[in-house]
Amino acid sequence: MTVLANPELVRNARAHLRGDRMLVIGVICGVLSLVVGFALAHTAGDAGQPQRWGRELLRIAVYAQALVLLLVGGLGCAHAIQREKERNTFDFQRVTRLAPLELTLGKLFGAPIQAYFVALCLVPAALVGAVAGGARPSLVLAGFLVLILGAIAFHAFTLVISLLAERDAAVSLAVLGILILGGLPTSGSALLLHLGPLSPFVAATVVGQTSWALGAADAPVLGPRGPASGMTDVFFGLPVHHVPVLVVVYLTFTGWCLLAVARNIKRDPAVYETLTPWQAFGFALYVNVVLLGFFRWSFWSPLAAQGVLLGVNTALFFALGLALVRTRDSVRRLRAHGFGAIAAAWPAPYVVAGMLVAAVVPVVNVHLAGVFGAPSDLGLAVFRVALCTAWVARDVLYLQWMTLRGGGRPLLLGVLYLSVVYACVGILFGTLRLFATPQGLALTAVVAPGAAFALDASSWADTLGMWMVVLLAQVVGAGLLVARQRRALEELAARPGAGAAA
Amino acid sequence: MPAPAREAFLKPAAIRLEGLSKVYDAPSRSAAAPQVVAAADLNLEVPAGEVFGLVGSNGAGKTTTLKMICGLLVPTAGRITVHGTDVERDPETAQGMIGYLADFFSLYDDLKVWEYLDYFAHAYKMAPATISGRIAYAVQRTGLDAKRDAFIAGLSRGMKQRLGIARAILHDPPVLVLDEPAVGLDPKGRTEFKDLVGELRRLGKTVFITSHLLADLEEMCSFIAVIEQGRLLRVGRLAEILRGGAGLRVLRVKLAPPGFPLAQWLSARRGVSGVAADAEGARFSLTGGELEMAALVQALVAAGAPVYAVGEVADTLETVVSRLASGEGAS
Repeated sequence: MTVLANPELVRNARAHLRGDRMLVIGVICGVLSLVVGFALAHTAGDAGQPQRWGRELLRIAVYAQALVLLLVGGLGCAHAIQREKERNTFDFQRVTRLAPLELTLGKLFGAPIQAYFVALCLVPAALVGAVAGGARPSLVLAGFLVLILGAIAFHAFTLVISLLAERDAAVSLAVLGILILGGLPTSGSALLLHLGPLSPFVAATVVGQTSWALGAADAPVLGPRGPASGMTDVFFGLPVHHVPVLVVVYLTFTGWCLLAVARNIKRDPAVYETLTPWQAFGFALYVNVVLLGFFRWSFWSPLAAQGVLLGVNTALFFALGLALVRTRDSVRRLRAHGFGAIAAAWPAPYVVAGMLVAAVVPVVNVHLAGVFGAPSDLGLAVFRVALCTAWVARDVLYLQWMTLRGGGRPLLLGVLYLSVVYACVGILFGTLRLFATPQGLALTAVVAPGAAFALDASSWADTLGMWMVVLLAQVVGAGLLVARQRRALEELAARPGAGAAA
Repeated sequence: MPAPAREAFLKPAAIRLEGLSKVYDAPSRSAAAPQVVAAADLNLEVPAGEVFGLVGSNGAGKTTTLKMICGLLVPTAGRITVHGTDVERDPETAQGMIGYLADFFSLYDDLKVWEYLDYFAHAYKMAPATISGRIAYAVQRTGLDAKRDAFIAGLSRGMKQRLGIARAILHDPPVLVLDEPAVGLDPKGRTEFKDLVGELRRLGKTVFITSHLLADLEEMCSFIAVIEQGRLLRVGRLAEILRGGAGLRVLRVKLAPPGFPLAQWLSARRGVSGVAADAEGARFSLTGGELEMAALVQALVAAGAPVYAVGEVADTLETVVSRLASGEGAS
């Protein structure tokens, strides 16, 4: 079955692209294009720059296409599964013979179909701008490629949100939040998360380029980089154009998102498993390869570089640990087949193993820096890995225990409690100026081990004993949570049922 | 694990439940009932080509069982097969054999009736050449001919229910799993629906159905299973269920004038149970067929009882289910 004949795609096209609606969209886009084009041509003519208005029209048209595809298309995808669940239409899709991947692809391309149509209606304006502005055709095509693949990657990610979310409003907020925090290149927060260069809005910059020539790679990927820094990236030392990099990143990221959706979309939501432990491990490796490939070691000190990579991996493995948390229904089913050996520690062993593997490269780099004459902080580097590993293990064990305890939305509550604790600790300890002294930092780290990222070599040497106690506290905390989880498993296995079913 | 209840089912099983259990958290968990047992070690066979009714009170576990059969919910333990295909291991093949109608559902309001059916026809991967014919059949059989090109948003509740039924029969599945299919239908619609079920049975389809309209089920079903709190209380042919069990008959004897110790006499007789005396005579259950019934009447007359009326009493399904649900006569 081809993608164009996908029933879910056809259904969306029939529902959202009726003749009258298409006519209205086409007229609005046409009028806007004409007005903007006329205004730009008029202004540029006055300034004596006849080609400039064309380039500006092209850039605005591509930017508008990106905005529509990400915002309207993103919201469409974000509601594609969750809203069907809410309206009780999803079960009928699940009982059809559509393969999970077919249903996923149908939603990926079908849910945002109206956004695609709007983008299509803006193509004439972009083409007029390209011709009038003398834009290079290959770069215009490359820009559109980035735009489409970037939008597909974003849509695939919002489908994952739609699969996992429980509430309509939550889905919309998540999509808007991601766009504002990480996507829009003009927002300060996008620079804060450093995702600007990966955003599909880069397409507007690509179409404005005049050459494919590689320039000087003068800024790190993990750092502020605006369009002015050029289109050159460095991958494991080799200069590469930003467009193929984006194409590969978009395609691979889309692949991971589709894997997560397709393996769950036809399952009982009570036993969703976003990725298997091995797939989660593979995803972590993928992120690390991309990260290391584009990482500019020369912009950072060895210990700072380790801090950046370790920080990313701490967040990554926390998210993957969250994805591996087992629901009570999953545990009940496992009980029928007998609990495995690591059931009481689930999912900590995978998180610990993954964190340790991911930490190897930066730790080796710290060690090599010492060999080549830079101050060696290998002990601190290793300690930070151990502490962050224990920290992530502790927190995912807490979330797993919360989930086994049950109640209404236990995982969400668990994440909320953790967030509140860390926010309160940050505010209180900051007010008490505990972060200002090495001893205070160690004290803070008992609750929030992230404080170790602020630790330098001399402070580490002065408070070594305290930090060992901090590490021990994390391990003990994790051990206590394993004991609690074992008890929760026993209770779940023993508890008799009662009450009314549906 | 006990063997699935076969009763006198001679036909091969279209649906087979083996040790099926489903436990989930109560929506509002209380210390008294933190978990719900929707299915407790259910063993059941639904014979192919029969109309099988699953009845029980609200919350008995009917909808959960149906959803597990369709692969929409995973069982906590146990196995379900549809025509030999394991629902959990090969859900797409199993689901291809099932036409499903939920008790509470929505449709795509922004589609037309034919577009909706066309979508599901393709989603069920029907041969393109057969689709228009099957849509025409489904629309005609559910009385939606005049609404074929209407938007779903403009349909009444009953019409939407008909469209749901049309979707369930569209791909000509050998098994239909229908959860409260007659809800929202007017009397004419219900009659037409019963006719449709009869036609499906004649075509050799297996229909697994739940409904609170027990009188309708009595007309449609050949087999009945009664469940309560996830447990199977009774399963068998409709006639046997109404009689109270296989080989059991409920009889009523009237005497004129009263005075003969009928209840005492009956209670002492072999094969008689559940004697309930009243002003005119007594009602009781007798194990056996016509011969045993004739022998009992003969003995009663020979004992000097002034018998003026003997008749077989058939309970309604409603009475049987109520009795079973209240714990009376569960087996």
